Amino acid sequence: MNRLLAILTAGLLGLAPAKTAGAAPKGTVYFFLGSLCPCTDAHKHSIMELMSLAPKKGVKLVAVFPNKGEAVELVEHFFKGIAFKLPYIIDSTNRLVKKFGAKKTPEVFLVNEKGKIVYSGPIDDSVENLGRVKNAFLKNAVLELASGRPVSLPRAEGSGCWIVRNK
Amino acid sequence: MKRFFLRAEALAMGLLFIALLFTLAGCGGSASGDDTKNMVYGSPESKMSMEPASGPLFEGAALSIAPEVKPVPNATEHRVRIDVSHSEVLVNDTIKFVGWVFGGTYPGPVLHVRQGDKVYFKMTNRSNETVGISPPSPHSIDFHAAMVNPKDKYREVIPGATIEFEWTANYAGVYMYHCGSPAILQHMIYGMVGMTIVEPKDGYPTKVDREYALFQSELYLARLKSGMYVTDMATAKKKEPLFVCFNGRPFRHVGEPLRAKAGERIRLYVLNAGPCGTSSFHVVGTLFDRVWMEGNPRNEMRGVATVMLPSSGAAVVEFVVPEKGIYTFVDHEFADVEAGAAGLIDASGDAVAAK
Repeated sequence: MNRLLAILTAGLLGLAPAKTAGAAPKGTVYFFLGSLCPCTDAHKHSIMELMSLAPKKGVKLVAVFPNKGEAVELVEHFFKGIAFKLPYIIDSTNRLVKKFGAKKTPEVFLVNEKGKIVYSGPIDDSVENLGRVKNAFLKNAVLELASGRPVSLPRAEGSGCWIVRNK
Repeated sequence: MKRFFLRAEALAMGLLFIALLFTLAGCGGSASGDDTKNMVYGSPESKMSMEPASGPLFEGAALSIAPEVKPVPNATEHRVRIDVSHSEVLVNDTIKFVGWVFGGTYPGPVLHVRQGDKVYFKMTNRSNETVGISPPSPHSIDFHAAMVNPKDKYREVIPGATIEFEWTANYAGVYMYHCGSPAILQHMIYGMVGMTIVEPKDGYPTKVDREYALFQSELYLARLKSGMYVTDMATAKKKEPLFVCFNGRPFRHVGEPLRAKAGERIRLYVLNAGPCGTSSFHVVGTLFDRVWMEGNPRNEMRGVATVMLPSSGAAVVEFVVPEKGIYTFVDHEFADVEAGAAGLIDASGDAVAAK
């Protein structure tokens, strides 16, 4: 039922990035998030900045909720608490977790138009939630991808909650 | 005549000068460097390991569960373990939520030590043991009673890891501890809060018949359509708690009153953990004849009806139970009473013999 709702929600929100009408996106960011994980808040300002920036650069943003037990009402509640909302997919079969090899939340994957992962890792290095971002990893990667340059830092390490897979 | 006035003026100025000297000496005495003479600043670097934990979620003779305050163990060094776990927190008979807690309890255990004592602290993040409840996540601990490098001692502990560090209780007082991992607000509304009591080196200046710990905190919860209750960052950011509790549950001490007898002197260690609101602590039917703000006897007030506590602020209050009766304690910000911030002190039994 939850899966059905998630698919329905995703459909209503115009997801399935590769199949969207209009100009083909230059890339897509998959944000692996957990509705019960407290670590996303530390990066909320970067995410909100990307929500303004990425569409102008032709990059789509999608949230993926991979944890066992995720449900639409939990995800909706999470977005209400964090005060922004992204189109999302509840990855109840863990298809996307397996495809990308996601281990934690939040963890992001920037995929280019050919489907190749060009950046994976944390959103930025703001682990303290004090507004001190020194390295905006994802934003830099999005800007490089959008301008046709190779992404200079394809992988970074960050902290987060473990993903609890469905078995 | 003019000379007389000059002499009187000179005398008055002289007296004023002497009074000023006494005042300065008095202030200087209490505010001078004396109280920092034996303090220990900092401590050896913390140790992080993947040493697994098992057994109870808290251990140590200096720990108790509020409202109980165990006496400080007869030692100057205390080995204390408080582990982190994810577990269900019961608000009342019908409401529960998935919480993250210290020592398996909400609020966490009360740590009771004496000024100058050393605490050897150990904490394992055991959130990896309950993956079915909530995804394992990083946690940390921040002792307001300690004076140490937060980057080292309060650093993130990943699931399954153990941190060990030591600190010295420099100041007498009542202090909060809490998780300091981001978003701190989220960790605190999930339940990662607790109390440290640092008794003055020579004890408090009064003798009491009973003492209790009162830990005030807010719960920000939302009811989902499924009927499940979850912590709610949206109302927390707006500072609109669903419940305000003493010792972890709304109106807990209405059902479980604190016991006392008429004529007894009672000491309450009151901490307002917040995380967002203030507390105006008051006991109906009596006045506090001693209030030590932050629990430090140097910060004394007398004849106080209501004590204002900021978020993470505390006080030790003492009063005499004037006669047989049931005394209500409240956060006198009455919106908080509506949310559960009230309890009872039952002194309806026989009075103590006159002293």
